[in-house]
Amino acid sequence: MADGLQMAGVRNETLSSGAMSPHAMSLGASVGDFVQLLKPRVMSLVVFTGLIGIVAAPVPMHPVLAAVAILCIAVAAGAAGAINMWYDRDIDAVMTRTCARPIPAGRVEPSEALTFGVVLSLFAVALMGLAINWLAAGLLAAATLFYVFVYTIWLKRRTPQNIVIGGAAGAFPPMIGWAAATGSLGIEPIMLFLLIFMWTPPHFWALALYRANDYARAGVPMLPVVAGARATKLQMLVYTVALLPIAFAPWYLGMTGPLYGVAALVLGLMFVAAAVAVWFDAGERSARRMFGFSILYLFLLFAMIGLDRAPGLIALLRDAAA
Amino acid sequence: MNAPRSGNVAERKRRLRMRNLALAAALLAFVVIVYLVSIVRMGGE
Repeated sequence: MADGLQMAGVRNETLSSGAMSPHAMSLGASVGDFVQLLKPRVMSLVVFTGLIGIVAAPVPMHPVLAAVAILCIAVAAGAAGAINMWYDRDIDAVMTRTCARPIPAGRVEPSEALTFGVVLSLFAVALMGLAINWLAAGLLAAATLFYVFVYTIWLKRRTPQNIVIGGAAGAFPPMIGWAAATGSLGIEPIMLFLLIFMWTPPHFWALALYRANDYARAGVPMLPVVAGARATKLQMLVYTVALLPIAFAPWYLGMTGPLYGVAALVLGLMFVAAAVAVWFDAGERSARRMFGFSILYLFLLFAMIGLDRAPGLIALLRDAAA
Repeated sequence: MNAPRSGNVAERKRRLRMRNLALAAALLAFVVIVYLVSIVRMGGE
């Protein structure tokens, strides 16, 4: 715990920036290495919530423009991930979960990753602005800059609240999707933002609970490292309970129908139950389960918004079932 | 000693070729996107 605090806020230059194998470097990076820099697994949830932002908007969007908007969100998210990997290459090298990433494994040069990330970010924002609208482009730029400068560079190594504040970056996509479709913002996309914002801490802390040693070794002051498992579990429970009324927002704001309302209630209670299980579990099994469920929770919740909003989709499903 | 080295050279060339092909595909996709967006925009959506 003390180690975590001591190292917090200080970029640990003594950590290796990755064992650069001359053999690996001489081969050059493969296409797959560059794909890995884009954090494709993280990207999939970002793309999905962005898509639901478009679907949930009251203004229909041309499918080609919607596809371009989604592409821009995906590319920008991946680019931010590449810049994150460039900056975090020292701590990635000492964490079990991340040591096989392309930079610490010596398959991609740090400068290549940074250039790749910056060029793709600029491309995504420019394309969003020129092809869709500049409000969506501005939000996309804000999300990328927030993730890189506020979360990665400023907060991640300095405070256990890193993921609470930094989580805002991952909450942008539905707002960007909404802005892409409507050219404006309102209370509805802000509630979708809040939903992901409140979901992020219990999601990440579940992971941090069973990776606490990894984070401590790397000097990242995640809450379990700094405050201990008990305090983290309590915070997780508080956040999952606070998330319940926020998850209802799309229904009581009239964005969705009762299908979503029922799903929000059932999934919300399951999420709280998962947090309760983590509270009573001295081991890491419940935390692992909660991490997995948290991803399913967000996916299903946004899928329900999509189902409720997609015009004619439910009718189509009914016809298919009949 | 020569066999692994020539193997490395071949692998390096293969990776370079794949990266170039991926870049070409990305550029082509960009051209197609610009074309499609222009058509949609000029058609008044």
